[in-house]
Amino acid sequence: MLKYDIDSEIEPLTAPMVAAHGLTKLFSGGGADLRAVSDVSFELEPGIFAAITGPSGSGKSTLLHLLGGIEKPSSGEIDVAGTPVHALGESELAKFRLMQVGFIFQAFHLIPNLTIFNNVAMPGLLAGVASAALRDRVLRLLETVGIRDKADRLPHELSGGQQQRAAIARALVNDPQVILADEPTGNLDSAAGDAVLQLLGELNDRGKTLLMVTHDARIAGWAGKQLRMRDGRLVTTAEA
Amino acid sequence: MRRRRARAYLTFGVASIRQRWWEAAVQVGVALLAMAVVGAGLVTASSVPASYAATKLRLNGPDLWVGTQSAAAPALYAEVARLSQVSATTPMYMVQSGVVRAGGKELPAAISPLPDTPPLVGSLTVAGGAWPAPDANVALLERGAAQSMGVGPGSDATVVGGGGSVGLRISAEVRDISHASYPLSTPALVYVTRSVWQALGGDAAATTARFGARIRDLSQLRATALAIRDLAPAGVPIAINDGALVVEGLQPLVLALEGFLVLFGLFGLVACLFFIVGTTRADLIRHARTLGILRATGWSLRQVRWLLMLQRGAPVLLGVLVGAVAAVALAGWMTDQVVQLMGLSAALDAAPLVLAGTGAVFLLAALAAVRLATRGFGRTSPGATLAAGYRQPPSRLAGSLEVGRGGIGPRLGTSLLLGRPGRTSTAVAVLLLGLVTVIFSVITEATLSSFGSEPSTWGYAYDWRVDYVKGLAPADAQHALDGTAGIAASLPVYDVNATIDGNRTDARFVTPAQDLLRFHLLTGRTIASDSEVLIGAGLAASTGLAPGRSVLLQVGSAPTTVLIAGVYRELDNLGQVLVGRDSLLLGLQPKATPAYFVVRLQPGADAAGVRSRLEQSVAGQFVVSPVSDLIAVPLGNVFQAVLLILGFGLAVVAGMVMFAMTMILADEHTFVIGILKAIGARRRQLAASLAWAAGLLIVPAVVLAVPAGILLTAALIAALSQVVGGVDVVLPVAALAIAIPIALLAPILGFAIPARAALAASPLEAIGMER
Repeated sequence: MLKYDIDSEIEPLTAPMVAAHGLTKLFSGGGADLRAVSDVSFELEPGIFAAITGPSGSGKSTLLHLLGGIEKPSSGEIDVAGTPVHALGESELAKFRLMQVGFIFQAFHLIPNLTIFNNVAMPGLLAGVASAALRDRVLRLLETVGIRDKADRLPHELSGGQQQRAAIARALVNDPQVILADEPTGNLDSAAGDAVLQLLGELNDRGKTLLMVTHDARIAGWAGKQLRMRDGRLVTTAEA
Repeated sequence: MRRRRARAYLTFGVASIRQRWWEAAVQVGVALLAMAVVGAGLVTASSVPASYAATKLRLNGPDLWVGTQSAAAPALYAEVARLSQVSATTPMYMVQSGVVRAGGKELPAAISPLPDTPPLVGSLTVAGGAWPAPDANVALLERGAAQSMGVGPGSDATVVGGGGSVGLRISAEVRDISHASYPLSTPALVYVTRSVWQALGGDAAATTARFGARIRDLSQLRATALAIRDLAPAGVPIAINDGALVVEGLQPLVLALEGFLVLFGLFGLVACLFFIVGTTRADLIRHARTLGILRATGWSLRQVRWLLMLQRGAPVLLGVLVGAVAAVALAGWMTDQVVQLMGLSAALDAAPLVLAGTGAVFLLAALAAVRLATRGFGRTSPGATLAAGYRQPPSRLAGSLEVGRGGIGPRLGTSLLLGRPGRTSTAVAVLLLGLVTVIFSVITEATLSSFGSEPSTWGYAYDWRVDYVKGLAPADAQHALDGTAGIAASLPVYDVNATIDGNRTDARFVTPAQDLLRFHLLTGRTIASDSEVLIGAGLAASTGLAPGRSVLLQVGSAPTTVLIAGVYRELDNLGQVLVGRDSLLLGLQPKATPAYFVVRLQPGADAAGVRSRLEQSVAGQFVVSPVSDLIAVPLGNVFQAVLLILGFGLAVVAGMVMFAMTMILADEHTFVIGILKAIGARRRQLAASLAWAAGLLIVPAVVLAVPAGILLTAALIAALSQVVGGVDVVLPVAALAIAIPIALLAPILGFAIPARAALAASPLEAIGMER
């Protein structure tokens, strides 16, 4: 059972939590443009656990990066938790990434020379959360994801599954409404992967909107909704 | 098999160098500069005496010069020519004291008549111009003096001798080697035709004579010199100079040049080694996966290490090779600058051996640095290297950076640095070394500028040396000096030959309680009575005489016992000088006359006007030699040019190394910047943490480097001064205040450029910047 207790209750929303309209992303280079995401539109209601699936190169990770504000769209509109992400400037985007979404990377992307505690605490530090409260929150989160005893270790001293748990704790530290996970089990064995999925499922049960990229149909089966992509286009949207 | 492996090394090595070409370029540059200056210093030191030997051989010059009173000279000349050890002699040259005026300057002159034809043995080789006809109204001037006066063949000159003054033309320069080496104690050598000689008073005006002798067996040079000395009748002064002594006279300066070059070079080498250690360690992390793949696919640790050594060794080897060529060029130029003053032709000596040895040391040091940097690398298994890379353990300091202390900027910046203590400490060490190098360059440049140009450094706290021509009574000379407005003080100096404890020496006697001649005491104390003397460091070293010893002093035929009160630093005449009170001399030789006067001008006095009034008062019978002009001759321009190049070059190298080191450090932070941006860090926060990290790196380096640089430089120069003498540290505060901030621009830029690129990139681009 998930022990994580969020600080504030999530207000029920009638509007979609995540919405994309005519979203397109072009990458230039080598004399030709690559259309990674092409005219994608969809809406996700609050509290849903959705999976973006598709073969390699279909544009699913790029779509997640666009939704999370770490890539800018070439055209189209993105609305996440009422924020028009496509219209944000650099500084506002940073604030959006810090407060409104939590990002989980396939390669964990923990800062290699900071301890697990400091890695998890980092978004709180960036947000200016008071020290004592942040310390309590980080330790609770580490307890929640089961690596409380690893707080003083460096990332490379942990297994892949433990590192991904630390990355999940980091994504939660500012209590975002939306969690974006890019192949969160891609670098893990099946047992560790299942444990991470269990953790994500429990977060979703607590009301977090969860959007996960995967190319594994079994893992996509954990999601309540699947967005299937091919060649940068959204080809089907299916409820579980 | 071995060939295939070599090809594998080469493939990886070339790929790595191409990818990080600027690192290789820095290594090439630093190795080049270090090799060039160390090599040039060592080659120059051995090339100066080699140039003398080669020139003497080519010109058929004498091995010894013998000078004595003109009356005793013919008999001595005949006896020397009969010595079995002497193979040949030069003609005997009569010498009269006088003055040469040319190019608006004047110098005390030793005037001699020219043989009608060039002598077979002798240094009278015309270096420019032609051998004159006996009746021509011309003179030949030694090249060092000509350069000092800024004249050459074709210039007009006036030669004043014992019997009159002759206006003539300088028809040629001759290779003669005394004035440039001893500008303050040796007159300019002027050779005149027979007709001019007669006009100047001829043999009747000659007070001394000299001739040269070639020795059959040079290993017997000293024994032969002593034998010649013993041929002189008692009481007759005799001066014997080995031409090589003139070269040795320059040895302190050559040693100083060599010493500073080698110091510069060693700084460069150490900087190079630090850079190699730093970049190698950086590579172990940056290319962890590549190295993991190599090890997982069968490369042994030793082979991986060889690969890293190849990557580092190849640029160093290239730098060493090009540096060796540069060293030869630099040594050739410096040797030429030094020896041409003495009338010699530059000849490089032992260059291949010296350069090969130096290059080998450099290369081995570079390989040793790689070995040091890869220590402990093998403890990480190939699997772990592949999975997570080779990571250095966190420092305790980084562990203490928990939530609750300070803002995010300092905390993050500190963590970024202290999380990799090995790399950070290397970077701090490189910064420290770089700044110390810059400080060293600035102080050394200022010190040597002063060393070359400040008369008091040489022990001369006066402005002019004033010689007076024969015919002017010393009392009238003193009266003229005392009566000329603008002269603050003047002092007669008696300069005679003497024997102390059986050793012939140059003896100077001066008025006590004056400060125009300052004697820099090395040991002992100043003179307190007429029966005490100081001796030069060279005389003390060659005779073993020391303060506290009572010895017999003989001036002419009058002996007395004196106490050696102290040993002082004297650069002139190799320090083979004795100093006593003039009252001591006048007690022994009541009729002794001053050799010259030293004069200090009043502060702010118009030197040209004072000189004009002084010369008018004695109808031109004074020869005024500004000390600063005279001492500017030996090597001053060489020092200036070389040090300017070296100081600037070394500062640039230090800057490059600092730039490269902080760039490596900041490069690694780009990955972290990407992650932080992805989780919501704002640009301002990241910039603050990077600024803090840069400050944490640079501020301690500055705090440590400034005192360390000053103390180290002072210690090195003091150590060099023990060998050379006369080098006092000058601390140019203003120059340092400008140089240090300029030097700091390099590491700041090194930190800022990659950091700025990462800050400007999207989070994913920044994450992808990890190399």
